[in-house]
Amino acid sequence: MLHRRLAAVILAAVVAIGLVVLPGAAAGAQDEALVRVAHFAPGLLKGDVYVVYVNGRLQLKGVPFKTVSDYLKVKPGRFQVEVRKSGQPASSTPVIAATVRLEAGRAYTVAVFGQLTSVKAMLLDDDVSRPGSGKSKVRLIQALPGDQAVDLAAGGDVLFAGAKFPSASDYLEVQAGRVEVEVRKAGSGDVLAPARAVNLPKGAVSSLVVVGGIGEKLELLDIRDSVASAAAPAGGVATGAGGTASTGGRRFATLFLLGLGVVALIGFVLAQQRSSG
Amino acid sequence: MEGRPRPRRAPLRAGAAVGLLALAAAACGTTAAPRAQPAQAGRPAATTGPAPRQAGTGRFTVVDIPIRSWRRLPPSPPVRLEIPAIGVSARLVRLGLGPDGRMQVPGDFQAAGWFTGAAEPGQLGPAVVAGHVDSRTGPAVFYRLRDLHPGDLVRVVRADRRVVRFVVESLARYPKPDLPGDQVYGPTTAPALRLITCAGTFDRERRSYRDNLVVSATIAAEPQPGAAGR
Repeated sequence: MLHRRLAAVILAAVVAIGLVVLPGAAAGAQDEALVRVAHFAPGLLKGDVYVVYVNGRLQLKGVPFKTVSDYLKVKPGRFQVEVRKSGQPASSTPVIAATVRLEAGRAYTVAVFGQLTSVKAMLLDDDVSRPGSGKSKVRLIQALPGDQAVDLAAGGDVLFAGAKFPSASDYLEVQAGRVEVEVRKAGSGDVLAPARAVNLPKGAVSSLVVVGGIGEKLELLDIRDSVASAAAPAGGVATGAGGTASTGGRRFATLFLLGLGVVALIGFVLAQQRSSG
Repeated sequence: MEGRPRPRRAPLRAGAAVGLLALAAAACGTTAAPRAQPAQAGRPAATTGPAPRQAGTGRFTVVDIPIRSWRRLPPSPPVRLEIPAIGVSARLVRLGLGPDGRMQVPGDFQAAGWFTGAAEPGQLGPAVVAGHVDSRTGPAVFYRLRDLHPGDLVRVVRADRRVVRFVVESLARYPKPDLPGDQVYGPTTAPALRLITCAGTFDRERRSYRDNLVVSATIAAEPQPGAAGR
């Protein structure tokens, strides 16, 4: 029973994505793409379970409502994305199929938006690069089903205006720090979600997501896309006093001198033989 | 919760609530091609689509997205570092920036230091831990850091007693003046850990090693408790 409830609440919307994951853990970020799955669809809470295959291979599943998965590192290229209901064989007709191209050195979110009668997925371009010094980057994702366009006000001023469902804005670079944000009906002062404090730290990239509807309360999620160190120390780190280096160094010097001595000795002996002979 | 009639007993009932899914092509040149063409093995070879891609592989790799995500982990400072593969178990001191703009280093050669200007280990971003390779008389806490291999486990114990596990991804050595800030302090999309010590030859006049060794690790995948339930 507990398991079932867990399944109902947490796994109600299983979005799975199949990808060709790079073998091992190649570090070079420039020859791989990053992709993750985000679940912003309240309509999917009603019990339907979906899986997504990409290139018919790997599955990723189990993203609860209002969350994002971790990024997967994948080999860049074209991916065939297919969505099926859970339990349907891979040979069945997908309810959706599309080809996406994931490019090296870039990051993407497959975001699922929803309402009762239709669910949409979008491939979002994520900019996870470091913001300027002392800055933070932020964008708005509008996932509230319906016709209501919204404004996002930060510190009293409208930061993102007229966001329609479903959409994602470009990232804006803002001064880092805590800020009061509130969701309003577009173009009016009517408050849809009351002000809350959001922390936009130095070096961080965030997505603010307006979610809710279909019986779910309207709220603003604060999802961190990437974080760099707030402070970047200069140069190297002085983490050694040479106690183990000197032993090796001395040993080398000793061997070198010993070798030199042997060569000199041989030379001397040879010279002696020659002069005596 | 009250106002939402949710079928609790039959969560996986194949309801008809969600009909069409449309993968809308957003930015980045996506070509949306909604079509209903099965492309998998198990279909007759006569399908018009490309050859069944599964042929030859015959298996699926299933990756579950962890429900016990690091995103749910509240912040807590690290207090201890454990690296079983090289026998390290050390306390962690706090390191800030020195007056010269460089990272401070631990005063205790057997302790490692956590740089407070970067992320806490387990939080999103690069957490940075520095430790000495040696003292004036012998090996120090990170003497065997060079012996680590990709796949080795690194554990960080936090003040709240919780343990964050990292997996080593790579080792790299850089001349100190060329320590690449982006590799060490740059943005990451998952909790990461950088272990730094000295390496290379020892410059006796400056009483300093010429290189830094940087071990990069990424948070380990958590077991998935929810997935076991059906």
